Amino acid sequence: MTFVLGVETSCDDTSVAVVENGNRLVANHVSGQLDAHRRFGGIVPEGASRKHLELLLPLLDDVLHLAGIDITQIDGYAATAGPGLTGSLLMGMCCAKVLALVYDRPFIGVNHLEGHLFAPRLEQPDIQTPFVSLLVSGGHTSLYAVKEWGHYRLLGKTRDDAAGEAYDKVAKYLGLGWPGGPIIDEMAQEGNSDRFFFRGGLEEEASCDFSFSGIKTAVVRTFKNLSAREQKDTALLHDLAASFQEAVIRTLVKKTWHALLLTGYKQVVVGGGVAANRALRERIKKKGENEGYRIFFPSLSLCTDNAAMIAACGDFHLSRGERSPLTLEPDPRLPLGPTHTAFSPFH
Amino acid sequence: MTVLRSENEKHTRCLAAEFVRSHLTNGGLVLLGGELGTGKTVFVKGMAEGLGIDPNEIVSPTFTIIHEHRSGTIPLFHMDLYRIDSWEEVAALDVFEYLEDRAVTAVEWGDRFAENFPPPVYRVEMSWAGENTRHIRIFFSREKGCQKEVKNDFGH
Repeated sequence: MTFVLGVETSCDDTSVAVVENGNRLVANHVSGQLDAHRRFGGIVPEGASRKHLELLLPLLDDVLHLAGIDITQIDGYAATAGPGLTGSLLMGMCCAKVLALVYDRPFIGVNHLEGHLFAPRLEQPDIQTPFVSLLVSGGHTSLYAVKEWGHYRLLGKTRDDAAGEAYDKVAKYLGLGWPGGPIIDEMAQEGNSDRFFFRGGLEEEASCDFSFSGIKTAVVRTFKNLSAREQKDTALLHDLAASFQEAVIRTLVKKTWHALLLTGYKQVVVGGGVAANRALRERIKKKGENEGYRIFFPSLSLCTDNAAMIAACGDFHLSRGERSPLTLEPDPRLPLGPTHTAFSPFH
Repeated sequence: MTVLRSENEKHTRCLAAEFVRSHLTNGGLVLLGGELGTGKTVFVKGMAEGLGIDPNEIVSPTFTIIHEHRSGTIPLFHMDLYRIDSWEEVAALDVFEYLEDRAVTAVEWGDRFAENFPPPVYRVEMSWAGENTRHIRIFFSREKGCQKEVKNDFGH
């Protein structure tokens, strides 16, 4: 496929992108609702679906303009079909399906998690399988064995909170603001991570499963036990942030290396919003370098939810001749399966 | 006044499972409240067990807002309103469609909108008792403005 247009609306962000030949990013627009988020200290789902609806067409115009191509030049359409919020997914899928129908091009529904695996390919097209993939964001924390493109095995996932969720909840609880990831990452740089000790969930368990609820609770309890004066001590808050981050990252690294041990693979691809965390990037890259593993992180803009990865993943499936019917419905809990054809190849 | 005392996570899950078996076999709405870390998601894991759903399926829906679980005796809809600030936003999420089904709907942070959800409704309040221990109180409203505490008539 020369040009594939991707649409991503699985959660908070609306995004449209065009990708050429599956791995060249032509244009990618993400319209986050960050300003509104900061105001409310959380997401504004006031019908995230309505928000997506309002943003999709202006984004589509912008992206085509930026790409310098006419819509008739698009060879195929891809949209996230799950997992995500049903109402939000519907908007993006509807948009892509209507365009596919009007311009008589194929349509494919893409698994959001599989999309994240394709993000680094947009910058490093030479990535070869097999590899271990750590997907870590506000909604997901899981490890996959990627034997080859299109063949995935879930090694483990969180049993309670996602890592990014723990970041956001801790930051909000400590009154640090939103989004919690970048704020804590920033504060942790100046903090002493040895000041407090938090045990990572399932840290000592020989599995690829995660648990971040316990760390979150431990931070809350530690904070509650501080005196009123200590609770306002900036240096202490920095130490608390650093100690929390240390526990999260230590756990993520441990589990990732356990996955490498299990699979025998020599490469790691990290994706999802938390992959933008500076300390996590440094730690995994350094450990990988020291021990002879190849580590891939997408650049920051491709870590968080975006349509470019959906277009890249869509191109992969469309190029294999797979198609989704225009009757395809969103699946809020769509799993990433073992032998993964995006959807039924039959109309 | 009946305050249930849970000694640990496993105990919370047992209490929740028993609560479901004794009060919610035909479905119903449960709003959960309590500070960060008091065990709302753990309680829902127990509710899942009471419905014959694998508790490992239950993870926090804070970001995804609604999780549907259909592998039990009746469906469990697991919602989380942590990131939501107004009742208008709740209404925009089509939660009422879920309430129509014969299912158990568990809403974390739902106590903040206790006045808005249509009765009959259970409210589960969780609070700290110690590092691992928690106090749990359960209330039931058959109609608006009328609330009574659910007695501890289910086992441990």
